[in-house]
Amino acid sequence: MYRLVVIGAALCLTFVAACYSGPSGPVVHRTSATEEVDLSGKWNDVDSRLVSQEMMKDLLTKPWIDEAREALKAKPRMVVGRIANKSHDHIPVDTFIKDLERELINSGEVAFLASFSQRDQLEAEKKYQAGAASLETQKAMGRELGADFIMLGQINSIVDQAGDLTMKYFQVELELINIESGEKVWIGQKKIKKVIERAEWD
Amino acid sequence: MRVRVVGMMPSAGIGWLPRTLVLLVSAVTVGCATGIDLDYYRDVDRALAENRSGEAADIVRKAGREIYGERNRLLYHLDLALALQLAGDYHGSAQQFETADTLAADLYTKSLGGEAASLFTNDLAIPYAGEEFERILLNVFNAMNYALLGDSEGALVEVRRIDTKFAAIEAEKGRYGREPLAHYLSGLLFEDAGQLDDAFIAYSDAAAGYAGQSELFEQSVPAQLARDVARLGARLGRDVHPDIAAMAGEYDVLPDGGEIVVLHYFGPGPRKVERSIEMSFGEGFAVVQSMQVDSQDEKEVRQTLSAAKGMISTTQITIAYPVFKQPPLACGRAQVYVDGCTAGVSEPVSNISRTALLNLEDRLGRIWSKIVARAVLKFITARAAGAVGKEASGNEGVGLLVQLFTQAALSATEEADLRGWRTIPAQVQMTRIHCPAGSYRVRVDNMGSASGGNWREFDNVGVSDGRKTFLVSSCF
Repeated sequence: MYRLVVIGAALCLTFVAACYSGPSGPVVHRTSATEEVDLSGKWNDVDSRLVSQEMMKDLLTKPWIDEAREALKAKPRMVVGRIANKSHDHIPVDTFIKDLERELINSGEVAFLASFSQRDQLEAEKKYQAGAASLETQKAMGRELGADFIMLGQINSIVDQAGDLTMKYFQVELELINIESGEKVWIGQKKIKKVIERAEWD
Repeated sequence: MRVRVVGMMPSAGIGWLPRTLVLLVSAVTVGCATGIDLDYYRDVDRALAENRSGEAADIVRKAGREIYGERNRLLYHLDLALALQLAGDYHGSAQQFETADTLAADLYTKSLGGEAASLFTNDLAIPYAGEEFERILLNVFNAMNYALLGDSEGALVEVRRIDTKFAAIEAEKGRYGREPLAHYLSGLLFEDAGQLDDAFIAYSDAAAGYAGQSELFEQSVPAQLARDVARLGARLGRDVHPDIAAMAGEYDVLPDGGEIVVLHYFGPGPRKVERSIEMSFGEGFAVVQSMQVDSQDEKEVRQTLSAAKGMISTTQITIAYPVFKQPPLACGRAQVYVDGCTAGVSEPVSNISRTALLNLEDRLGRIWSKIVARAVLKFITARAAGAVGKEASGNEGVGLLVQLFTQAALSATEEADLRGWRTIPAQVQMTRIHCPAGSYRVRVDNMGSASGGNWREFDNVGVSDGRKTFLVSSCF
């Protein structure tokens, strides 16, 4: 009779296993914003932060900056142009650009100008001031500072898959160009390689 | 329900105890089914058929975990994503497709535990990872989301993901992925982004894909595509395959302006239906009965019948497997009128229904191996349970009862995996109209519908020089 009970129990377990559909409800853990969390192998906030930090550190230690300061007799003025996303991930490029700007501005080595997307708003505000603000406080058109250098770049990726393994390789390329002369004064490159192993279900 | 009897069942009376057990087993197994209730889809289908895509999305959203369950999460995201796209919520749709893409990649890895459980019960014990064509098409439809939002960079991300999947399929299966529409759409997106070399390669791959698989997919090379290859080939000084050049024939050099590209989704999409057969182990395998199940009610009747038969026969086990069935399409063609410009007629660019069928046929060998292994395992399990029951009780009658009960339980758990992306169309057609830069009103007439067709208008459709403006229209 004991074995009969065991078989019955085994059958019940089989049905329960077949019917069980996993835990319910989301589980949320709070973590530090700087903690490295990589859930899927996709480009994430940590990649954006680390790449911008390393690349800007490299940018600021290269000879172009002393040469520019010498020639301009002031901090070089910079603007970030288009960073094209040519990768396999939907990368929020604006966030990456903000990370680049923050690193550069906080270094105190360069002056930073409004980005392309911000210029429209500046223009709109000046037009508004021209009609609504007092003459003494109005900001005039055509008085903005012109940038000396523009940063352009792209994010590429290569993906290779075999069985349970996926290799993702990101390559970020940034170039700093002298706007007046068109001369490229710095080229930076940063590579990230991620191997994603997809676990089998238990 | 179609029943074809090709053998005889032993006729035996069913006593009160076996009857009770049959009811119990049926209740347990039907109650814990891990597929999706087929009746639930009626409302989704009706909303899509009546062009109430927003409501279809709401129905799916409301159904959520309760109807789909954790094992069918991928289907929830896929069903919702396409309904949202048809409702014009392209951001929401892209978000759902993104989640589905990640989930499908995770689930594609085989589950050892799940596979083992499915041998005892059915394939529904395994989380749904999507058919190969579904995993490709989710990126195609998501590329459309970004194209509809005017974000060609985002659309090209999806295109690159499709290429990666094609490469993985080639490495794994020794053949290329089967969706020339993916290349065709890539070509359009590359051309829109001004990447003409990439566009030419994508157009050429698409043309080769259509030409090489035309009989298999009942789909010829779209005339516009052949002209694209010839036009760009001439512009870039690249060689064009003579067959494609012949198909392109004479074509006009495009004047200044842009292009309106309308993608027409025609449905309803292909459905998986259940076929079941009963196997006799008396004197080797013999097919006793086969049955096709089209609805939830029929499925429950079939499961109860299988359980009942399991209770009166010690030599039979039921096995079930899926086949694709294509319901009649609501529309066959579309005509597009652009006020102040010109008109055009759609041409087929993707036969999803046929792709689905071939996809399942590809897997049939594996499905059958598993089905037979499962039938044998279930039979042996029932026999072993009977033997142990007899030994433990010292009573042959109890042993027989245990075997019958086990067999009934295992027969009743037999259920084909009918899961599939429900909101997917059966066919995609495309209309491309070149117009000077400006703003237009576009009217799409879907023709050939049983209810007389439907139509849709788009106001203020902007056309810019050298760019493509994408629109999507549906008839389910």
